[in-house]
Amino acid sequence: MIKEKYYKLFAFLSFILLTGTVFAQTRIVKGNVKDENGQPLELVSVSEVGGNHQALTEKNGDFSIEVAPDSKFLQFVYTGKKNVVKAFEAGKPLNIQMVSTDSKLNDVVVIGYGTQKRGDLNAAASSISAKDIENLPNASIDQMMQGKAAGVTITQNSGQPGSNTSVHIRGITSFNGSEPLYVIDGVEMTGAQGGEQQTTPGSSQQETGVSPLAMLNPNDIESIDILKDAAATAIYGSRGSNGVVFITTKHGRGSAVVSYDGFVGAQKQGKLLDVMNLQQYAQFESDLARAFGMQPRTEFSNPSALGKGTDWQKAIFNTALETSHNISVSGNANKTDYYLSGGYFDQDGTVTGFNFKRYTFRANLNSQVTDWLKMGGTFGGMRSNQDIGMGDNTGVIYYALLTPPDQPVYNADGTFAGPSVSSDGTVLGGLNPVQQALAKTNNLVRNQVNGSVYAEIKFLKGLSLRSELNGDFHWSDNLTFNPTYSYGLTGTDPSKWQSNQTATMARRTSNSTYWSWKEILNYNQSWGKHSLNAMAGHETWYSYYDQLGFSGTGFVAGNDLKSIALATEQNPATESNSTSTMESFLARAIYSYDNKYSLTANIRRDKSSNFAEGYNVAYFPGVAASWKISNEPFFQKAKTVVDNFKLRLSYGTTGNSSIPAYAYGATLHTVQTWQGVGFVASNVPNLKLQWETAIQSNLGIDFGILNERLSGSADFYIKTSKDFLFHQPLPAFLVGGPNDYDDQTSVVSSPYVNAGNIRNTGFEFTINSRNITNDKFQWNTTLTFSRYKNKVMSLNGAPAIVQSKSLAYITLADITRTIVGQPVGEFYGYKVKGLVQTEDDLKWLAQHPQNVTGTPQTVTSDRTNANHIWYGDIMYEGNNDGAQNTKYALGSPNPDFTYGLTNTFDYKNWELNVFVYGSQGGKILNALAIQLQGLNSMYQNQLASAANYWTAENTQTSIPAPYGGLGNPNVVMSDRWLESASFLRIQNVRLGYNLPDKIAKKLALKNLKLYLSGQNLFVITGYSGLDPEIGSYNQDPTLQNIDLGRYPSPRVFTFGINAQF
Amino acid sequence: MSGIILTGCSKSFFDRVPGTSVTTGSYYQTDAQLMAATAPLYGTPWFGFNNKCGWAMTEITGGNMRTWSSDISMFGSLPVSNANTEERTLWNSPFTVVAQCNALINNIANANTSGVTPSALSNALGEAHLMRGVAYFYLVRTFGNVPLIENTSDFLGNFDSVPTRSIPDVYKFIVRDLKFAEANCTANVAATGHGSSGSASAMLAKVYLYMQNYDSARIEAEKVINSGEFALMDNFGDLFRGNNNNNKESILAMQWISNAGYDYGNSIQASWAYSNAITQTGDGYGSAAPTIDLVRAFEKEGGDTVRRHYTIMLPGEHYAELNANNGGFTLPLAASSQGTQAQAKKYVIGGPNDPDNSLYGTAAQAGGNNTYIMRYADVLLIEAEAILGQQAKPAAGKGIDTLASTSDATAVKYYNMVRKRAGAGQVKSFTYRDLLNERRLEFALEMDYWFDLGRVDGFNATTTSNGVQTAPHPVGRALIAQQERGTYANAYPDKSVLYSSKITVADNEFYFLVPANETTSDPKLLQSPVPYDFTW
Repeated sequence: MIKEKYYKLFAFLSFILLTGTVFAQTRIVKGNVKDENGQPLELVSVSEVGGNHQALTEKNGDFSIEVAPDSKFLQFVYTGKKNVVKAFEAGKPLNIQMVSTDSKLNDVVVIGYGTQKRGDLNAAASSISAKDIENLPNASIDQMMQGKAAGVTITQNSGQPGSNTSVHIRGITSFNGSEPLYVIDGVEMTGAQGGEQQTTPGSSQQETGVSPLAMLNPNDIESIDILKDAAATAIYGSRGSNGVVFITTKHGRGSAVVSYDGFVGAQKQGKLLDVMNLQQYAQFESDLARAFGMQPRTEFSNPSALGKGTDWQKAIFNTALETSHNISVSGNANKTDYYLSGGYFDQDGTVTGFNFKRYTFRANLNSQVTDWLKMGGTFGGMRSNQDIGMGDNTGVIYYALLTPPDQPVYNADGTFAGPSVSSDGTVLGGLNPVQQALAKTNNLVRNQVNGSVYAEIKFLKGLSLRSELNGDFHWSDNLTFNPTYSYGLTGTDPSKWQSNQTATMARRTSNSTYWSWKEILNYNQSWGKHSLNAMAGHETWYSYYDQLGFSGTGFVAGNDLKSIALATEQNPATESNSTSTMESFLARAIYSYDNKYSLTANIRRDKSSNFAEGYNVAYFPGVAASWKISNEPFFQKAKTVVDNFKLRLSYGTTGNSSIPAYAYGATLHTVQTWQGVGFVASNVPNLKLQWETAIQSNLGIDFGILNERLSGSADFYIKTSKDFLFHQPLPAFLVGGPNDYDDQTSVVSSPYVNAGNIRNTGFEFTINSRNITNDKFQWNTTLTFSRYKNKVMSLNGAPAIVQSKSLAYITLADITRTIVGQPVGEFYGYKVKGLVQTEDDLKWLAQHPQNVTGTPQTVTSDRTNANHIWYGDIMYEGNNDGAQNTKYALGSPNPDFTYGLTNTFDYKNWELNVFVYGSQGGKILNALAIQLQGLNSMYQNQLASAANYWTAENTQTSIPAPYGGLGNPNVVMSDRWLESASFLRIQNVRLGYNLPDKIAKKLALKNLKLYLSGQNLFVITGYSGLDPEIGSYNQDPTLQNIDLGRYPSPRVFTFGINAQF
Repeated sequence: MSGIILTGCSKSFFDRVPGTSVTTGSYYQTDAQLMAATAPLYGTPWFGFNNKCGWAMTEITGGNMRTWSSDISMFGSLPVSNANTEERTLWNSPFTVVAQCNALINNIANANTSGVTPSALSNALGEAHLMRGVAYFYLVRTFGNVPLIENTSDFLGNFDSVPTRSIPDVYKFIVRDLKFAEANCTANVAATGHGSSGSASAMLAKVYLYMQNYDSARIEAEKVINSGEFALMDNFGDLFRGNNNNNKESILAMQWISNAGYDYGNSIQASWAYSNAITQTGDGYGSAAPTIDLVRAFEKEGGDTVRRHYTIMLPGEHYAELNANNGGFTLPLAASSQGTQAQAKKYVIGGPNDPDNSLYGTAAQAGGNNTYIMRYADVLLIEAEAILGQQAKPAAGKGIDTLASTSDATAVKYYNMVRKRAGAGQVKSFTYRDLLNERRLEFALEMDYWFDLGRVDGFNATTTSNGVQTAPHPVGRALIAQQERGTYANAYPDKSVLYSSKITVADNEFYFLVPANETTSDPKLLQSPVPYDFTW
């Protein structure tokens, strides 16, 4: 509303200024102006090119202008729209469509508890408009933001439909929730959410968490504003330290419009790994058996006589459908605007067993009831239904890669086949991944209702009070079911089949309630060259979470009836809940002088229930200043070239309190015992726990050159996270430790501590360029660039933070390390020198046995060690200090920089959009390769390249000979498993066609656009795995870029329609 | 509205104790609450130890079992990497018990226990000390010198510089804990599953035996024998029936339940049972099986068929109690899951519908049968060995000579009691070698043998400057070197082709390495032990 008023005023003013007196002989040109949505535009200034005549359009968009006899062109100017110059022909009506300009200066940016024009902004902020993300086939908005905003590093943690995404604004500043705060129409929600999804039965890894944003229908979004510097985010105080993302949903404008947006797409896995076929596998298994002192299998004695065997990747990857339908009605009448929408989204997984469905509706309403009272509200309802076949990390993909090719998918009779069984009863393989993916259930249904109501009262000129009540209510239900089954290769002993005689089921329901209440007093005043916007407010919020779990075994009634009531044995129920509350006072003043200098100061005081009395109150101040140099008199000469140049400077502090409720206190939890429920200590308390504080300085410029032909902004920042909250891992001898499958029912949980300081320094820019703009052809380019360097400044004297990750049967001990002076979650391990090859090597190793497994490896004369990996160490380099082999920092998972390049081409009714996203630098730990190239287990398939292992005849190789068992020196954490994470992805190419108005009208449409889109078309990368974009393991910053066989992002082709009636 | 704004939120608005968790400040206030706080010390914290690593070490490293299973096969060949998951669990699981015992002891000290009867209070403290002592007993036998922790909170800021304590110090600590337990635990309650004062005495007897303090071992063993709290079960096979949890022979046991899933049940059967035809729950992988050496050890005993039958299944052998509703289970002739033509029977209890499991049930990966920490037969053999030790008087730092023999009436009586129940012949005297063999056969697959092999060379701890135990183990090494850990090339009954496999164990391999992630957190664990301050 405010936006439009400004436009109108601006247009009117320019009209007055430009109008001159006309005396020449004239003729009249008539016509009509509409916007890109077919809505009439009022108050567009129409002027004669090379003449003096002026006119304004009417409410219905019609205009009528006198022109000089020699005039040929009319210019149309409207703030917020691109200028149009069009030739006219006498007597013919001239119909003009004006599209939104790329000049963002007048766009309104949401800054939290208010809005500001981008041109006036003192803070570092990025904005993404609905247009930037329209017609993308992603399920959730966080994925769509990738590469669209500078300073925001987004990695998809999984290609699994509905899974979460890592969003890091200006690097990683915390161990505990590095995800930003999302504010949807004023309702805050946190980006770090997980735990609702249980682990699929039989999977050894936790599932990739679900995305809270996957509940939001992207079609409903009008704009996204991302606040990056602390001066801006300080107004969110204790929750703003990772940046704030505002999502504004659509509101009605102009006369009623009914819109339909829909697409249908096909998804396909782009890349498959080259694993051994049956012939290669047979040869390899025989060699392996000999190496392990076992008898080779007779059926493999002549590999060339065998076929190619089963291609398990082909068996589990499918071409999958994706559809989306969205319909909305919006408009503005009688001082009331409305927006109603309903959406349906259905995405099948490219991997067997995965699916994501979402149903949404939304109603937004605002009404200027009287001159002094405005009321409104938003209401959204969502439901999603998500199926996970057999787990994500080390799930179905992992099993498919390892399942031997001699194992068929099906028996001749159509039943599932299993591995063959040797005469001594050894099962020569494992589970059938296709059967597992189809048989196992892991279904998550989520329901969410959220909304807000507000009333805004204008007391005096410039003084208003806004009272707002927000709520968010969430229920989810997760069901896992492992049915009974028994299948095997026809002819083998059924007692050796893959079977499960007892079905198990686990059901977990959770619900959460969030409400907040805000009172915001606003004061706006200008006098002379001074203008002031002041705001003071009070806010309280309350959040409650409860989770109930039921499980049972033995479903004698069958596998189809998945009801806990039918379990022959019901396990004790589990429940957990928590409550967090906060009360805040906030204030902000923005003062500007002469449209040149501007100063923002804000402060927030938070009191949180997450900390103990005495440590639970904190203040978060922020200041920012800007100087519009281009408005200075001395700049006027340069202004013919540079029309906007602004300098921004800011400093502020924000906080982070995202730890579990009552994490500071000591609690007990229940465990089951033979005498019923028992109680054990849950955690080590820390009553002195306090906020994590982020201190950030920012220097930025905004510029516009040649009438905004080239515009953009650049920012440099230093962000230090002080006293970061950390769930300090303690050695097992103090608190106990997880057992072999990471279960830890009675480990005493380590305390949360304020652990140290992390600093991020970064540089980011956005450049918008209108390369070609004429009435027929437009070419625009946007480049975003983000770079940050992450460094741990202090760990408060504590030793390194070391993370291990187990991958089914392999534990990678100490894979990442976080120490002072280095980035968070840096890879850590041995450096490979090569293979032990020569007699000299052997001799040297006999005297200096290498020790990478905790036991020195003795070198014997039979060369059993001769073909092993040789880890370089300090001793070898000449520093014979008697030390064991040395571990090194092996590189950071963080990229050096990420970038997004968007090119849009408009030619008449056609438009082409090409989006390229890239990430440069950083390392990936290819943990999957440890299994696929480990050569240490029988009956597992391996990469075809692994066949090139060392033998006495084949010495020119980097792959060591087979070594039985785990914990062998060849598979310890080393740079052998690290690969470059750089990639360039043709993320999206979209060709659209706007039906000409005439035809559209005949079809009773205001507008119709058809488009074809290709997502994830092509990736340039040196990474040998399925997908170089790995993300972090459940948003844990110390476990980034570890490929555990994660679900890769598919290639998607879609055909879609945008229609307006 | 603004009135509410200005006054702000009340204090209770910020006091958010979770509704489903109990805070330490509000607990330990009734006898029942104390009982519910000690019960977990016998269950889930031990799960990791019981699940795989415990028997991987004691049975596979000890030479009683073998496996091709890649996650534990290195336990059969040594060394086991300090990064190995099971090796880590060997450390983590008993230390989880220690952490919970410490939490209980320290929380009780700070709790308002005015409403608790004094006997319940002292019993709870006694049980916590008992289980801490037992956990450290496993730890010291597995790792040698380890850190001694009594209160986690003492080390939050300096966990990276906690030293280990010498083996004698750890034993001293265990003795102190067990004496406290003996004095404070309720007597005659072992049948409930909670450790009793008598359980502490029995554990003390065993600890003293390891310390070669034969006099004290006898005193404690006789205390147990004379108390009458425990007795041998009449039939050896009854010891391992699901329904016989906490029987009269059970002195101390890990208490498992079948209805709470993984982490709470006895998962041994899932790994050991030859096939799911036995377990009826989909598991039963036969992923470890008795070695040829163990089978031969029973064969040498000739008449020891009862005990062998309930320890080891041989091809063609019938077990009426397994899959009883379908006529019992017969081990297929082809059964040789680890190439030894033998499968495990102990702790293999059958399916959910078998009558033996009617009381405590069994489920996938979760048997309801207990795991013995100690049973009465052990006390009898400890008494026998202590008498032999008193007579043989081994030199300091040496074990009893394997040829040393006794015909002491008491010693022979107890020795014969164990043999008689096993179906083995009676003797008039026995050598130390006989006794060690008796212990091996009696407790095979019960997570004990590797510890016997480690102690036969006496209570002799020498620790190098990098924390490695290097005491000589000539007898232990010789016993291991003879063990046949190989496989048969052909199917039953053809034993003509044997792929023999024997290993030699170095002196420093009798103790396992401290897990790598622990030494990364605390490098002091790799240095010489530091004397412990025993003032209480």
